[in-house]
Amino acid sequence: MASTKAEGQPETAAPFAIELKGISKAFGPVQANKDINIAVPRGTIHGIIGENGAGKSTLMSILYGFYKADSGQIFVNGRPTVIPDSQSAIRAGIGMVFQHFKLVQNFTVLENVVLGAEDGALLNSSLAKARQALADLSAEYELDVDPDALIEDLSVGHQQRVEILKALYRHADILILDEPTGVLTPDEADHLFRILRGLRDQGKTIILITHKLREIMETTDNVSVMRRGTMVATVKTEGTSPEALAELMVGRKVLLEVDKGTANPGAVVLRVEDLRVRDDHRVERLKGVSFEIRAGEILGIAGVAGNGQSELLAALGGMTRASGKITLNGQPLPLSGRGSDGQSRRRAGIAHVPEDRHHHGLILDFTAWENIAFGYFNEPEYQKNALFMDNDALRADTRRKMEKFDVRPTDCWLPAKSFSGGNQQKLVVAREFEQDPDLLLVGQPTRGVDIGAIEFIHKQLISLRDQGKAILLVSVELDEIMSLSDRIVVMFDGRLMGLRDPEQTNERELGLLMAGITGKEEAA
Amino acid sequence: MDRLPRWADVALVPLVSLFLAFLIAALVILAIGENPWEALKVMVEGSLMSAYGWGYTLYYTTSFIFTGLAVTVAFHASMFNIGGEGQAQLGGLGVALVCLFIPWPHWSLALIAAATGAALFGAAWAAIPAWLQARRGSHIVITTIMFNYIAGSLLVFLLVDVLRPPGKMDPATANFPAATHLPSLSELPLFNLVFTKNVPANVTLLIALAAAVLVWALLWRTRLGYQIRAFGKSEQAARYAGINPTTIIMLAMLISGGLAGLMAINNVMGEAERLLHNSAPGRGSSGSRWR
Repeated sequence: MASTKAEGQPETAAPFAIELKGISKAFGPVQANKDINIAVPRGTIHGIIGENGAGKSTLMSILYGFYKADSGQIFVNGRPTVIPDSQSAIRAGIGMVFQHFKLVQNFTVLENVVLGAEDGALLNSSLAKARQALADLSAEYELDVDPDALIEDLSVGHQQRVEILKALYRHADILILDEPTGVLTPDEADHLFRILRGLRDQGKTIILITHKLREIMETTDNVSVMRRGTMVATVKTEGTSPEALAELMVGRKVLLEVDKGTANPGAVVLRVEDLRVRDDHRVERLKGVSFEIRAGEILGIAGVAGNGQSELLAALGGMTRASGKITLNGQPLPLSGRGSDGQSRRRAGIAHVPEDRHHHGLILDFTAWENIAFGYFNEPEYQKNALFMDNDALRADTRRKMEKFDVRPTDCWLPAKSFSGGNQQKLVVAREFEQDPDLLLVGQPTRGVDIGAIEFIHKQLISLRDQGKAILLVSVELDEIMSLSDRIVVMFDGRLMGLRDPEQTNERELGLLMAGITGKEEAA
Repeated sequence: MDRLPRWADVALVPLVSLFLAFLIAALVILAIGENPWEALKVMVEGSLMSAYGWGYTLYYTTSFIFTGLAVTVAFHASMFNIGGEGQAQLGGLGVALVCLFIPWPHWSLALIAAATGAALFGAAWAAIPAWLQARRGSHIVITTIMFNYIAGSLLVFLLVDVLRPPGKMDPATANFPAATHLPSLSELPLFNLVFTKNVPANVTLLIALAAAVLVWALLWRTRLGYQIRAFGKSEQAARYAGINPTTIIMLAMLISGGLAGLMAINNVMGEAERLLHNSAPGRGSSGSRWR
């Protein structure tokens, strides 16, 4: 492997670490990449931005040898290179850090780094060599990780560093990171970007795939924008703005800031007292949460995923058993047994946009019109008589909702899985927003949703608030929480970490709370 | 995955499957030194080339419609009901009790009562594995297979020690009274123009066809069917929608067991006219294989 580097030396004259020429790739009738040209200069951080389905991941998969391009050429350090599999990519000096880590949970850091790159059948010499290499890398790039720690004991941010170390240990000169900050706190993300800048300053080339404009602006030297399988533009980051990039991504002007007036909170709609949820292993995930939401306000719950937000939504939405006390408009709602199911919650006036539209919000094999009845199949307006459902009425209602929420294509007979992520989400949102609920539970409303749809969903949320609905918003996107909420609480380790006014707080403060760093525990 | 066009799904897939089945059967027939073409001719002639042959084909069809529907309903709830055989045997017990111990003035009344008995007994036999699945998580495939054997043993015990008339040697009930005789197709007006000889296919065929329509309506036009299908596609999503898993598993399996039990009115009441040991050999599980 060291030889790759030696051979590469005379090539340093080549200006581009990676150059792709005319790359095309189709999956059946879908053209995922159309004649893509991109040149990544050596020693730079190059952002690739685009909406979901724009073809970013396909392009990187071609570069890493997962897919074979239908046509086009790859140049690594100026030399034409064929990359039929990931081993070849590694040999060419390309390393990849996936969105979902590929680590063995019950191995140590050192074992994970060596795994697949052992020198021979006996491990000891490899491990000793790796230990030295890790020590050097850690010192050089602020990549400090305990080599003897088990992966399962590490935080997500540290696990990601192990992935980077794995790539560097394999002599990667070119590092591709796919949506690296999705699971990180703001602090961890900042640390990651410091590491990436350090790597760049040592001459490494970084390709950063993301949909977050802020990360692009803060970190990259150049940025390439993809839209619907084509490369729309490559620009210098200095010379562009988030608005310009958003416009390039979507193909039209986009309002990035949410336009909202001040809230006029009314009576208390939801009151939650000491809510606790245990998971299947009897581990307490929600550890006594109390708060209230008034009519006409949005309470935002910020936090890194997995700190009890899902359990909170599940308990309120009737998906799991809980203990404690909740009242809706003064009426107590049962938290276990009879009357604690999703149907009872809907009857009580709670609508729920679940965090996971694929596993909860939709039946992907069902048609759009069947999905519009999902959770509401008992509604009188959908019944023809005591025996049969009125599918015609249901389809008419579906067409109306698809029209109003601009779900495309507007064919109510298509199965949900045929819609793009954004349009799937709009189906769920259309169904839940149109129920005229008293309380709206909203989990990750814009996860995996393109910018255009985000704008739309945000507007709808504000308009529901202004109609006097009480809204509980759970999101891991801090920007979303800050721009939509009237009050913010941070959730950490199953508890609420204090109430903030979005006007008087900042990402720094919320980020610390998200990491569990606080003076005292406060109730919201 | 791209979906096949509808015509291919409906026509091409079964035809190709049929062709492949013939091909494999032909290889076996060749291996034993016979002419596969000859065998195919005998099969087609025997089953399809005469009204008498059709009389048998339709008789078997009736049984398979019931077991196929039984599998279908459970399958939509993502329950694999392998226990059609046991449920059909218990259905046979229900038919026999109704026919033997209640005096019936006319076959039509006997048919309604026997069908009810068959469905109830079949459903009851499916209820236990269903409950074990819903509440205890015992896998329905395992438990329904086990219940096939239990049903077989139970029937042997009842036929040998309880229901066998005095003086008879074979493990079977007495013949059902003449008033419970179901008209075969050769005894029904209009049908008797085609079926001139006595055939086992009987009026149950019409009930089977009606059942097929009812099952379609249940699955695709009712709230219960909607919930069964939604639950079958995603149990997690069903929980979000407030669909009660226990209720759906129980109802789907009760309907499934009832349909499997209904098969008994075809073979027990319509053909044998007494309950025999092993009245439904392999049919129940054939229903699922056929799917």
